[in-house]
Amino acid sequence: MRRIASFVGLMVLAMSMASEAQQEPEAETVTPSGKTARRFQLLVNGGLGSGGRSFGGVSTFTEFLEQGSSRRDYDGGGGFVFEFGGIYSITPEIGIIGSFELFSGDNDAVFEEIVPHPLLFNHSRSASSELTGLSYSENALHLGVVYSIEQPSITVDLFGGPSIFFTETELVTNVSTSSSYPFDELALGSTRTSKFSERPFGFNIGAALTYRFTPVVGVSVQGRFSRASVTLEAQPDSDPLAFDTGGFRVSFGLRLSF
Amino acid sequence: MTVRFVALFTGGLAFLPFFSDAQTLRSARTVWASDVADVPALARDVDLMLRSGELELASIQRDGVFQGRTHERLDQYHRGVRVFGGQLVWQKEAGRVLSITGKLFGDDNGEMSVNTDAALDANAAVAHALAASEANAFAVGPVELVVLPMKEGATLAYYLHVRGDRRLDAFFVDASKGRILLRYNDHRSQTGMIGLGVGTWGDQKKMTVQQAAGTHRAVDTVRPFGIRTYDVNFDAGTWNRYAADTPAFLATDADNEWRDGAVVDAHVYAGYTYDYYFKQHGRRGVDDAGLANINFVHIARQSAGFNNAFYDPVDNSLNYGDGDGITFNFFSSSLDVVAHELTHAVTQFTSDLIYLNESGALSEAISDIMAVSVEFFFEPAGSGRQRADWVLGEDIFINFGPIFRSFRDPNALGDPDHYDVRCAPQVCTEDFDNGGVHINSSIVNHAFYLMVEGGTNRVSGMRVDGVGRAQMDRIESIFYRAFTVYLVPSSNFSDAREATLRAARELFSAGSALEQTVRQGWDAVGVH
Repeated sequence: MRRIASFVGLMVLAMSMASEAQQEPEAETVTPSGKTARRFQLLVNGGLGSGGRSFGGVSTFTEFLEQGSSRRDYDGGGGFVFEFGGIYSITPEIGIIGSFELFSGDNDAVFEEIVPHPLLFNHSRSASSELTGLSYSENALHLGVVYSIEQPSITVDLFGGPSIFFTETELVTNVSTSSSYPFDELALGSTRTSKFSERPFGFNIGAALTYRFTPVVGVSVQGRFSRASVTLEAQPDSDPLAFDTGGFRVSFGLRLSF
Repeated sequence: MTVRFVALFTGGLAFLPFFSDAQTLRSARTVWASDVADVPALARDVDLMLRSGELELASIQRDGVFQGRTHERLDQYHRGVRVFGGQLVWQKEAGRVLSITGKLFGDDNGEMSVNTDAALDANAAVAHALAASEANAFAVGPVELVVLPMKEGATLAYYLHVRGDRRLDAFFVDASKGRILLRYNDHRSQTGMIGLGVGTWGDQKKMTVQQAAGTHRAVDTVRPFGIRTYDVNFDAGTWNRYAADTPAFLATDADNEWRDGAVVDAHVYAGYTYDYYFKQHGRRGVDDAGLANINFVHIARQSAGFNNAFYDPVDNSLNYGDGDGITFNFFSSSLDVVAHELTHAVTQFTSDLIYLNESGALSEAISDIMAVSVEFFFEPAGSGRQRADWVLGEDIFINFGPIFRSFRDPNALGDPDHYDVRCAPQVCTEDFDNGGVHINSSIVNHAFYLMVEGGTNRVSGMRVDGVGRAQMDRIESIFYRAFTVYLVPSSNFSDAREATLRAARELFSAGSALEQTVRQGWDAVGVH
């Protein structure tokens, strides 16, 4: 809900700034090339994000007088990226950028349970399996300073600044096991997953190349690298699961200048 | 809320007044019977309750002791909703009711008045249970609407289970307000039934135990067979009358860290032997039908010098002496000794070899063979204490070194390693080691050893190409099958030879290398 509110707020801000730009032509700045620059740009991008989230952990427990363990390893895949935002130019070269990025992908989990033997020491049994398609969503509010290099019809924007991420990660939280006499084999039963949310702070840095068909409409290609560390307390008696969110993403989109 | 109980037996069984204040089952219909003659009337009332839906048949059990008897369990219902814990059991034989026992719940007048319309739905009840559970817990199994009898009155509740981190909670959620009425850990796993045992020689083992009345008892409820170990506490008189087979004599340990080596080893090694038979031969207990095993330890003080262990065929018990404390330690302290004695029980339920002369020697031999097989199954091979080897009884000696019998070289102990040098009936009379049962068994033991490890017999000079330790289990299977399927009480060595050859052909085909090895082994020790 807060995520939507943030996004709506950003859009309202962008629209009001665009409106102001239209109503106050005297606020337009003159570029070195002599062209009149628009102060506000609305950007809408879409693209594919890379995966590369590999993380995992082991939790331990005591059963039948010995230590057992539960291992979880996750590997994240790529997904679709969608971004809304805007750039407000303070000077012809310097501005501020704000955007909201939505990314959803999935994680594959490999899990292994090692359970001590009820009758014998040092005869632990193990069972493992995998689960694919665990949901992963990663939305981020990127803010930053933008440095723009204007050429006729083409603009290069270099930007960077802080980010706040809103992640929701589906993790395997419980794997039931069973065995029957003589207890030499361990069978996996049901698997339980839960979703964990985090809001880590991080940074973003990137560049965009925009080609304008008209003073108002253009298309752009953007590359951004963002990063934040996510820590999840998914299992009792284990170290927290930690992974880096963000990554390098290329997107293509539309630029509207006002 | 009164819990009413009826206990009524006929047919020669005792009348058991469980609750002296219980006068009626249902005041309007049922009369508390203090006389066996009242059973039919009570049965009619139960029948009426069945017809009215106040009782419903839940299960039928066959009586394991008295053939032809059944026990029908009848669950109590109130307006179509099961009353949790309310149940009657009537014992029947040929349509006749022998007894009715159980508990039914109601108010002081024997009635129950609970609104069975649930204001809450099952999903809401689950949500309430989950809210009261740890973060990662989740509901499992069915959600059942029940009437829960509590001290303050009966309440309509949802009965469900929530699985958490290695626990399973039973929840009773008030079906009107969502309150948690009752919650308990319903995990009936082995977790609480494993104790730490320290054996005679200081090694740690897992004890399968039973929690009871603030202590732990040496009762194995993990294996499907059941093993009970009794500490006779030197009450030889009680033990000798088998009266020690009562709960009062069960070995106990308050903190579940068992340090009585005699108890630990007897209990654990019996379990190992059961496991060996199950894993290697698919046998379910000594009778192959799950018969429980009974161990007696601390029969007499060490000063009495009870240097023996034996299987008692009357009560199917294994009995272990404490040794003399000078030469011998507890007789349960050696895995091969325990496996040997337990195999006598297997023999009793199969070939039932007569414990005299050659058949008796065969009985001793198969016990020895299975004993070393169990050792090789559970212990690392090698020489030394608690190692799998080709000698018997080495672990019960306080000073390690002496042995009871040797498979590799029986002659080193003065035992025969060939049929031609057997202890003949003239020497080994019926009064002398039952005709040499512990002496001539060495001939069969040595044959088994040659079939596995290979070698040359000292007397015949014949060489046997053994199958090797890696295939020892095949020779074990041949002997197990021969001794449990083909031998009869009066079988002799020659019969054992034929039985093992036949088993080899059955298990591994006629003319197989294994059949050849078995033939070589018997030939080498002069058994034809």
